[in-house]
Amino acid sequence: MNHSNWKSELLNTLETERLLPREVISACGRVGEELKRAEIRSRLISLLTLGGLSEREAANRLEQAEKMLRPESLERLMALEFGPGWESEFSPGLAEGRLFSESDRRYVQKWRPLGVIFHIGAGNMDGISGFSALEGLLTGNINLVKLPGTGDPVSAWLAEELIRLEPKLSCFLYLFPIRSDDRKAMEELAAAADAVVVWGGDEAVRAVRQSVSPGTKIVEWGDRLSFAYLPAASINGELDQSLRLLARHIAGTDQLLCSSCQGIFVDTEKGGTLLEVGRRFLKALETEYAARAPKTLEERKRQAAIALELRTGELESLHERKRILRGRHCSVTVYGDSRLEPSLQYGNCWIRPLPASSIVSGLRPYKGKLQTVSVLGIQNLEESAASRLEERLLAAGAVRLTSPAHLSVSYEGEPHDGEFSMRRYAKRVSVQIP
Amino acid sequence: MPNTTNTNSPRPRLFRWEDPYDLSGSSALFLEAVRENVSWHASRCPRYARILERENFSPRMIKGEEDLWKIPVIPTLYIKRNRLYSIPKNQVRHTAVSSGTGGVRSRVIYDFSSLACGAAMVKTVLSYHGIFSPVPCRYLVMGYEPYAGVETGTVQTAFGATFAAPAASRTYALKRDEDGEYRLNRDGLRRELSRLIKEEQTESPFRLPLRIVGFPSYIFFLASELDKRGIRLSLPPSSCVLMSGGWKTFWRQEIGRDELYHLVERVFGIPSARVFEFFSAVEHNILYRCCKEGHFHVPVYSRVIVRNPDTLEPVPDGEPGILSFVTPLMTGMPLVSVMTDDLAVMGRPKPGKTCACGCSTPYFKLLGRAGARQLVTCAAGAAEKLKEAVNESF
Repeated sequence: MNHSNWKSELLNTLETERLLPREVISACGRVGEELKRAEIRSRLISLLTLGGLSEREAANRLEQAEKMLRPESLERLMALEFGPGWESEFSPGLAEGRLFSESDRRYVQKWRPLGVIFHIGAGNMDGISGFSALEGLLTGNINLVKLPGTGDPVSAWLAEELIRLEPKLSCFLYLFPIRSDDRKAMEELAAAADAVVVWGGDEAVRAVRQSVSPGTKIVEWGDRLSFAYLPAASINGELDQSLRLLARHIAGTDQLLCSSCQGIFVDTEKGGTLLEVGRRFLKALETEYAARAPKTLEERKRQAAIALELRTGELESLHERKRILRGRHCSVTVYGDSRLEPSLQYGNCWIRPLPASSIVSGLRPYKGKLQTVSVLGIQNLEESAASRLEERLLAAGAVRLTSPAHLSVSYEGEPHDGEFSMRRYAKRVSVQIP
Repeated sequence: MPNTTNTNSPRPRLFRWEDPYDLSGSSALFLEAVRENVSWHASRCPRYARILERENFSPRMIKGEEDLWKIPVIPTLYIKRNRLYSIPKNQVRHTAVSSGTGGVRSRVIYDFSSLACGAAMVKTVLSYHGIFSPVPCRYLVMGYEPYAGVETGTVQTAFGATFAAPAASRTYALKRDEDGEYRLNRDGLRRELSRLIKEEQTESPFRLPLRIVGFPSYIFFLASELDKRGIRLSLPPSSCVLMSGGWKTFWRQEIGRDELYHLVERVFGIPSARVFEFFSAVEHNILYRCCKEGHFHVPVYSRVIVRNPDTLEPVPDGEPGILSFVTPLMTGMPLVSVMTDDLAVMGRPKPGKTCACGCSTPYFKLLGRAGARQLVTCAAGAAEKLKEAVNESF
């Protein structure tokens, strides 16, 4: 796309145009209809699998997208974030709105778009930039979208369809396929924006924090980590069933998502218990992974990188507190420490001790990094104990608690990393009225 | 003094072997040197002794070449993260540091005896391929200028290569500025290139041969820039290209070997027989020459094992796996059996036959780096810099 004069267009749009949520919702509805077509579906699934997702996960993701684009879902989403009067909240004019009065003064409060939002998508996930921009559109913003240097065909498709089906969106949505290290272009885009939305790892977030001038809002959707927690009371219960569900979730996402389980913290200090849980977990992982021999060169390269890590870990276990349990095309590394870190992914998990009494102190160092926790066998706990444990995990920094099968399954109206995301793309304005 | 500095022990004798590709003649000596090297490290490096113990391995178990894969293999990743030394500090004569992937580098130390063996190998291999020459030449190093105390292996290797023939001059593509930052040596390059073009036009009788040294990707970039400008040189016959390291271009794809060879011939007039590509690694500093078939042939100093990632056992010829090596070169560190992060396949000429290049030893072919993401190595990082700067310079 060529946007040589985007800067002047942008000012013009700010001055003369208004984008209402309703207009975006109906455009999304039409895109959703497109998504139901078989040839579009298969094209998008192949794009997503090229991006590294399993076919099952890609189909899953597409289904979620299709659901999300339905007008009734988007309406509910708007209602959840901005209240049942969301349409009048964003409607033009300041006459109607939520009224406040104090002595003889009267005020109206309404939601308004921030103005211009610059979205920086994560390199690791197709479609993120597109959906980030969609939230910006729903709140009436002009969206400048940086596509990863490697391209993001899914986001590009979504944007093109939206504009094709609702031409008005063309002056609210700009795609820029630029590289993150093209500092000049990045700074130019950031300078034009009211808010910079950044998805990605620490490095991407740090770079944005350093280059964005004060006064420009930064919305960070950084990398997060998720894990399972095994309370002492569940260790001897129906553990294998929970582990099977957890393994199935792991195989479904290959531990690539922020919500993917990286490993299990066990409520114990005994090395023997950890090893025992590790062996049972490995068995469950093998059920999912044993048949997954690498086929392509890319898969072999990945397998080799993991093999080098495992071999190195085995040798290091002679002088460090860790133990590697190898399975067919999967592994479990049992550590003596309680660090929270990404696993080797693709069915290579960790197990670590974390006694319930140390949950808060042990996890606080990672407070901004925690996302989902799945408590295994929570049904084995008494209600009060379960709720105490869950509150502790939330106090430590977790923002989502789910069952082992549903770590990466979302629902309509779910907050994102502990926030209602669209509210961050809008401002609450207050206007004194006569 | 340790007995391995004795020049009659198997290791120095192996590294002085006359024919660098005489595997069968030197096999018994090789095995003896490996056994001796494993024992040497086991008795001097407690951490290595524990690794052998973990796998119940003893050097006595090496009866033939088919047993070599059983020597506990150490990934270069382990060497990057952990210290594994067999000699005291005061015996360190030389240090080489790998180009860091993800910021972690391995630091490999040499004592006098390993340096001497390495030097003997370099002399034998380079002489065998006709790279040593008494004729003075000019060097164009498409890489970094060295400085006193430089420890980066690739810089040392490129510098070392400029001694294979007497140097009348050395021009470096990347020179350090006052702050120690590498910058493109724009003026130096331009001067050297215009001199070459001028000599070509005037058919000067005083032309010296040119040796181009560096990463394949840099040489490719230089050659294709000159090619675009229609420059055609016919450099004196003993000119050559010496390269080793990454094949990734600035656009992150691999360039074809044939394509590069043709380009070098067209632009510089250097025939493909005078293009020498070597493979070596900081953690395994043995020279493997790549023949025109793209085969890295195994010399007498080492054996190559391509391993199954799951079992670490050797895979059959032709099947991809992790490239690993066995060599008794090092006495400073137990690098006798190491596993790189390269994927490769093994191959060997049919019994009684030789490769099209004339060499009869087994060979490996590289398939790329292990890893899910693109690793940024020394070559790739510098290539970005070079691309930017060269674009400005012309």
